[in-house]
Parts: sequence; structure tokens; C-alpha cells
Amino acid sequence: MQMSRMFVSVGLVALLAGMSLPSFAATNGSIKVASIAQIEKEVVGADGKKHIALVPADKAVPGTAVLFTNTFENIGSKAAGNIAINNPIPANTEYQAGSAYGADSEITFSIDGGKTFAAPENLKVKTAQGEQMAKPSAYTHIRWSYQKQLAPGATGEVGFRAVIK
Amino acid sequence: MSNTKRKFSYFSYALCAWLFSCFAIPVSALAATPAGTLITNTAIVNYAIGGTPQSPMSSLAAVVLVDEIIQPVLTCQSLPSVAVNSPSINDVLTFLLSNGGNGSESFSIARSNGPLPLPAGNYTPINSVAYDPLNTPTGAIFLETNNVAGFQPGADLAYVPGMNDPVIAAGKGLVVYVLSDTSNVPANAQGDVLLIVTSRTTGAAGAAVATRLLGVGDNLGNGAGNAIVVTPRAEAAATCSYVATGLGFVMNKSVLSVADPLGGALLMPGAVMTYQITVNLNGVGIASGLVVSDPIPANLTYVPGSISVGGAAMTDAIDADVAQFATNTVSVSLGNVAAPASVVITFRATIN
Repeated sequence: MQMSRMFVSVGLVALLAGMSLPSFAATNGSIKVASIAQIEKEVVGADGKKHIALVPADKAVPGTAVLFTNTFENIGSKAAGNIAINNPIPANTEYQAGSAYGADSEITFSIDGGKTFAAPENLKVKTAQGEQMAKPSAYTHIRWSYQKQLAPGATGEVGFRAVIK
Repeated sequence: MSNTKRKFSYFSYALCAWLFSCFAIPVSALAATPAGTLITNTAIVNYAIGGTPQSPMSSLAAVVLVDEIIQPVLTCQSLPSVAVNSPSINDVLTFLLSNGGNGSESFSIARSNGPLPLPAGNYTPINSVAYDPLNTPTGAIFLETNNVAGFQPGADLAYVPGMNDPVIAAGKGLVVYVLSDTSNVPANAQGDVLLIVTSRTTGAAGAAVATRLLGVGDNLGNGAGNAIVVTPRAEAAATCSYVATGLGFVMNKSVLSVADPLGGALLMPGAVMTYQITVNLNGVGIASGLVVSDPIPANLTYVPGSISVGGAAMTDAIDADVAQFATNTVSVSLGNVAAPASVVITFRATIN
């Protein structure tokens, strides 16, 4: 247990160090964004019946579908517009087709490391059989383009599932 | 028990375990994310206030630690079965132990000879006495050590539970040899050896599928938070089989004597060599239609009328006696021979 905690801490430190710039910006910005990971788990409720609940996914085996949820909130005093949430598909995971959701958002994907984004039907790859639609496993990024203004104090939520390879 | 049984190097066992160098081979392009990997998700938001783009904001990372999968896989490589004489010693069965998990894992190995209930017509192999260093119930199991295919005595180390339990990296495999002796058994009797490998992660042995070994991680420091048992009891089993041919057949050919033209025993042109072929049949059964044929090589000339079988002179002609010389080949038709039996054939040839 001691060992695994140490590993997580080291990982977090490494991550924070790697994104020091955006993190610094976060302290001054008007929009706060948070990301959480959850997995579905069968639990027995108070009524004694089994049902599926979302529980925090701090640990999971390969093959597990992890639900990543990003919440954003306008913590400033002015309405925000042109909101776009950009989410690289986590390394060692594969996007689960059709899982991305987000109210009032146009959802597009990238297969070129985030340079360009398009709807799934417009993402094409060249194969020996000619041009084909890119498979979800080839997606590198998801982008939610929020179509509305976000008023001060308002929040939004987007998310997707990815399976640990 | 002779001293030869004790000739195994314990230093080598330790080395093999310490360096994890009992030769592991890649068995599959397993793509499972290694145990201990941190999966991180970060969302970055771009936005504008009053039409003016602002600095992007980034979330803290959501982190998921990849747990370890415990999934040994064991297969028999000696298919369909290994034919053995009756009796016979040191016959090798070959198994392949693979790590189907996503982290390095240590496994213990145990053998069960002729596991019960013994099917009708089956016999129980015996741990190879000559290769069972400690004369234990799990004896005569060897690990591929020198990376040369097949069992090499002395080069491939004996497995001793608790001493050199193999450590196998994710997606890799290790060849395991099991050596057995066979006593006098009926022809076509089958002898099974069941090999069972079990994860040595604490709490894994005997655990049900999906057992989560909380906080234990891997004994080997994979960095995984938990170890999840995927194969029932965290073990894998496979059976390899021997089939008794019933008859042991051993044939040896040797040069009994050389007589050179000068009265000595030097190999030179004109020297006459006396060859001896010994045919030994052991075990139980009848070898039917047994024919021993020996073509004379180009640099030798057969000495006419020189064949003897069991000390009795034979003619070269195809006739009533069992021997003949035709198309430059000595052949002896022994017919149906009941084991055990031994037949000695001699003939002579001159060096050209």
C-alpha cells in the first residue's frame, strides 16, 4: 500500500511539473475545469437489489471502461464565450465509440494529435483499400465546442469513456 | 542414492531467480498496459471574455492506476504424446508456461503423475530417478536455462520450489521440462503428467476469479495497486502424456575387429573389418516382421559369405536361412521376435 501511494504521488508531481504553465494560468482564469475518472460497479443497494453505480476509478485493470467527466464553471464576473474543451485521449486507453457526450456542445475528434478536428464521419484515413472512416481507436483528441455563453456561476459537463488497453 | 543426484548447483538456482534469467521467450504480442502504469486525463478549456480570447485553463489530471492481472497460461508442447519404451528412463515432456498478465509474476510449479482417478488402461509415470536431485514429489522438473531448444542435462536447471521459482515478464513464456521413468507396463498404456503452475503473489493461490488482492500489489514491485486474479485459483494446468510402445528396441553397430594385409589392425586399403550389429528388444510384446538392413558404404566391399547370426554362419543367397546379401545390402529377416531378446549379427567388409 505504501508502495502504491508513493507511485501515485510521484506521478502527480510529474504531471504538475509538466503542465506548470496552464496550471498557473488556472489560478487567474475565469473558467475552472476539473476532470474525474469513474468506473461502473455493481453494488447492492439499501433495498438489497443489485444496481450499477459509478465509483471513483483510482485503480483498474486493462479492459476496464473508464468514464472521464470534465466539469467546467465560470468563476469570473463576466459571461464567457467561444468555450472549447480539448481533451487528449489518455495514453494507454482507447476511445469508446459513441461515448462522448455534452449538452449544447458540438463534439469533434482528431486523429492527428489535435491539429485538426472533425466529426467521426469526416475523419478519413488512407488504407490499401482506399479512403476509409477512421476507427475510434485512432482518435487522439476530443473537442467539445460549447455553443452557448456561460454566465458567471454557471457550470457545464462533458465526458467520454475510454477502455484501458 | 548416488552422488550424481546431488550434482546440482544451488548457486545457479539463486542466479536464475535473482536475475530473472531463466530463459524467457516472447509468446505473444500482448498489448495489455503494464501493471503500475498511470492513466492520466487532462481537459484544457479555451474561452473568450467579451470576444477576447483568454489563456487556456487546464484541469488537474484524473489518474487511474493500472492494476496487475494475474493470468498464468500453461500448455503441453509434447503433442500428441511421447512414445516411451517399457521399461524406460528419463523421457522428456515439454510444457510452455506463459504469463498472460500485465506484470512480472513469479510462479510455483508442481507435477502430479497419473492424476487420480486413473483412467482404465493408464499407468502412472515415475519422477525420473536420475534427474530428481532432492527425490521430492515435485522432482524432475527442469526450466529452460540455456535457451537451446530441448532438454540439455546440466545446462537446463532443475526446479526446486521456493528456491528458483521462475519469474516471467508480462507476455513472456518459459519452457518447462518434466522427466519421467516408465516401469514395465502394457503396450499402448498411457501415462499422464499433470503440471500445475500457481501465482506466488501473496493471497493469490486458490483465489477465485476476480479476487482483488487489496494493497498487496505484486510481490515483485510492479507498482500496481492491486493484483486481480483472472484465472481460477490463480493457477493454470496442462497435461502431457506418454504412450508405452510396449517394446524397447535398441540397435548398436560397432567394429569388432580390423585385420590389415600386413597382419596388424590398421585401417588401410585392403584391411578387413568385422562389423557387429546388436539388436536388443526389451519390454513386453512381439516385434513382428523384424528386418535388419545395412547397406555397405561405397568405400567398402562386402566379404562374400561372411554373415553370421547368433554365431551361426549364413549364406548370401536368398534362401531358407534368415540372412542375405543383395543390392550391396546385408539384411537379416528375424521374423516375429518376442521381447526380451537379443540378436547379434556380424559380417565383414574390406576397405577399398
